[in-house]
Amino acid sequence: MKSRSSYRAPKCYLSGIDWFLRALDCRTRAVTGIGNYSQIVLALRGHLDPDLLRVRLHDFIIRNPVLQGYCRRNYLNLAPYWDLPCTVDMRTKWLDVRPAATGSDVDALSALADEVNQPLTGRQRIAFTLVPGARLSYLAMRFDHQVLDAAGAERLLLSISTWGSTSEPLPLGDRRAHLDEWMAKFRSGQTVNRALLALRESEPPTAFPLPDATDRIRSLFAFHSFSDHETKAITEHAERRVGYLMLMPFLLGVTVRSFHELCLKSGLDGKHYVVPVTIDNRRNTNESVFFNQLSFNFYRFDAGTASDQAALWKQAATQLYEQTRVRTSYHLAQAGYLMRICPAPWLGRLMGLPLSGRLGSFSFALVAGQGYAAHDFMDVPIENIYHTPRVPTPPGIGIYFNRYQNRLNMVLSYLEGMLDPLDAKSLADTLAERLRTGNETVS
Amino acid sequence: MSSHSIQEISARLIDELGTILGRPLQADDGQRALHEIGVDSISLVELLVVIEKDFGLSLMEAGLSADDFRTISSLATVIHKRSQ
Repeated sequence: MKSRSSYRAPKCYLSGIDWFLRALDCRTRAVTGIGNYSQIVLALRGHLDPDLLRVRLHDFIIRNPVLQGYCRRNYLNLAPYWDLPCTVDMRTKWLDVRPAATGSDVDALSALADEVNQPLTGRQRIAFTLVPGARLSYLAMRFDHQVLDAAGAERLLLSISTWGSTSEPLPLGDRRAHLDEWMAKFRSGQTVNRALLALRESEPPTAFPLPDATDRIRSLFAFHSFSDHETKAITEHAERRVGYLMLMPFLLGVTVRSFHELCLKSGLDGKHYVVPVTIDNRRNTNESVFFNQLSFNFYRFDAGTASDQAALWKQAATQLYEQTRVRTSYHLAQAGYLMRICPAPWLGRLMGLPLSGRLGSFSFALVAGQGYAAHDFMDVPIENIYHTPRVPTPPGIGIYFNRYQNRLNMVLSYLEGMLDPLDAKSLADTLAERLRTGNETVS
Repeated sequence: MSSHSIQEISARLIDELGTILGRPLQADDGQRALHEIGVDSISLVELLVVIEKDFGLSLMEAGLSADDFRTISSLATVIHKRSQ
């Protein structure tokens, strides 16, 4: 059964960052057999009616065909664009309802996290799984990073929650081809190239080797959810140790130290670490939820000082300031427009060249904006919101934080075979303990 | 910029921060704690970069206390003093 959409948007061109994400999707798919997906899990205090949700999703997806779009290249100007289908295939199964969870909430969450390893089929870009539970119900939305980033996905969920029969399709934002100001884009490309080569210096960054390619390599997870009280304490530690509102450098500094210790324990003896950090470029709540409104900064930490927590915090804050001052994330986004001429599978390989195939030691993000700025989903109160992303490959390991209301969550995501699960749990536990205490000397 | 009053500096910072946050701020937002008006690590540093560019002051490494950064008014007072 196909449902015709009454909505026909102008041609929807992909940005340079969208193209990078597509290249990462190709690379991740080549190594792991599964694309560059992520997932958001809503923990709900109550029962969510699956039939009501199915009807809501049916209507929402018909009127937002971007969620069944696919990538094409314009034969006139060669720019890639997202083709929006006139008909939406409603044979796709959007919602899967699983048996009620019998174990603890942590068991239910861990089981649900594995859903992100299920491939999306055909032109499907989002899929939902609902698990009713004794105390909490869980609703997971896994999504294709080609069409949504983490903050956009939170906003998409909010739009679904408030969707009504008279709602307008969500805006797609500025989707121009951006085939202008070539010299400025070339200069941005030069700036980015120099920055990447400076990160490398004499040798590539320390990184865990990727597992040998097989048919399907899953992402595994270790979680920590901090209470309101703990989150307040972490914010105060960040202010005392790094400065007012310096939560991101505080988290990054603690993460680098804990990762460094894991590298030493695992016999990885490198000279430095490089950490790509995601930057959300949305300026206001009216910007489109779709596509990737983000960019990256790249942080470099010397292994020689990675045991010194105070030095790491200082380096993180200094580099945040420097990269903001020289507009690294802006130049990367501008340079990306030039790279769209390169086929995504090739770009996936080329991207790693400046760092000898290693795009970083691990990736890092803090999703702290008000993406989901409500307390309920379809009138069911929300207990918490978790992110369980598959990490792009390379680096195959990522440590991510998100904040919902007054609670901070942390997830370590890694490819099966890269870390021993006990080491991964130990890394997450150590990291959580250091954040709770804010102590430089906890080991 | 040393000839500018604290009120003028504050108005300028409110304008710049509104651009950074993507929504206009009101004059009384100058008295509110920055975290209450949606400022985070990234947007605070973007504001500090603007201050360096517009007022020639590098506040990131200036040894200021958290209270100096707490509100736009307190930041404006610091800028005014250091511009004298």
